[in-house]
Amino acid sequence: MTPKQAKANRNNAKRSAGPRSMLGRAISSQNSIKHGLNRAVDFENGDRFDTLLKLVKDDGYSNDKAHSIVLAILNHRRVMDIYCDIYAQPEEVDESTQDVSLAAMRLGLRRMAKGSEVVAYEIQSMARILMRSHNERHQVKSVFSRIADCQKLIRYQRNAISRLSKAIRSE
Amino acid sequence: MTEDKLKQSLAILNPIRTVKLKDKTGNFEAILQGLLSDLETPNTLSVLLCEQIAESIFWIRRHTEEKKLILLEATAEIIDEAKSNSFGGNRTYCAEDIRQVLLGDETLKSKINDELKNAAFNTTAISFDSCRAKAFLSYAKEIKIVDDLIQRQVLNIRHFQKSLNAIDINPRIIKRMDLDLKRAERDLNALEHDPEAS
Repeated sequence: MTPKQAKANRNNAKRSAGPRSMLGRAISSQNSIKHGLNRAVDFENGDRFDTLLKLVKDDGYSNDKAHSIVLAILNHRRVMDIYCDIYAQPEEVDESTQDVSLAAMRLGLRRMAKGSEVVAYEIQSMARILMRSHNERHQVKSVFSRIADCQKLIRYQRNAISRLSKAIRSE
Repeated sequence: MTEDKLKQSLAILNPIRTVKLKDKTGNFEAILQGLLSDLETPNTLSVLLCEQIAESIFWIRRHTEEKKLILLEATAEIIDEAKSNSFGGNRTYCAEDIRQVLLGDETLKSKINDELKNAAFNTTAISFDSCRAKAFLSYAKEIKIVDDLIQRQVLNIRHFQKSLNAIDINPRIIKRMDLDLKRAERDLNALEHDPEAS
């Protein structure tokens, strides 16, 4: 797509009144969802709930207590599974930009090496080394974005763990 | 005896495993098996709690590694900045070099110190230790986030510990968890900068 086409698309999109079909509206209604932890979930209708409930009751807990313990465990798992997913989310790497950066570096180095005895192979290796150090920095940056996303889940973890503790330790 | 307990615990846990970590290193499994082997009377709830504790310990270790990486990279960055050698994003030193210095490579440390002293336009820092102190300050916000994440997992473990204590009174497992927490705290303290060194 040319820059002109992209600009035309953006201008046309500004005049849009949004999705009209039911399916389109259903899809766009999910756009702002970040992790979905504020949504109410019905744990009791899952197979896992019944299995765990039976096993915890077999350990000698009353029906009510086993019920609240299993709900609390599943709630805690929900938070921790999302924590894990957010953490493991692959960082989006724009390969086209990376190629452009590498090409720009090569060009710069070639210009600098003009008139000197530096051969093309050496220029290429130098560009690679520069790119590697750039990638190392990118790795640290991806740690920053991951930990910042995980930090948003701290309060959910706090709530989930106190609910679980209360369920287990209540008389 | 311990192996029997472990087998018994794994037999209960395997069909109902709740933690799905993508851990290729096997750390999580090792932590989990260590905890399970110390269970006095394994039952559904106690093995599930051990699984959650193992997960928390796994995250503490992972975040501690990240904190180390941030500090090492930041120190390398400050050293290069001080040497005014940031052309094209090139790096003279990487995280591994800084790790070597911290592990006691005095030759590399004195080489860095000499380079810093001889750098023509160095106004940033004059020694390796002051670069490290600056790295702490420049990335204080990110380090605090990692500390918060670690602290949350420590508190989670304390909650699980109390719950486990309520259902499976076993001093051995409590002691093991205390040791794990002490180890995590020691690792973190080792990362903190000693102001007297700079």
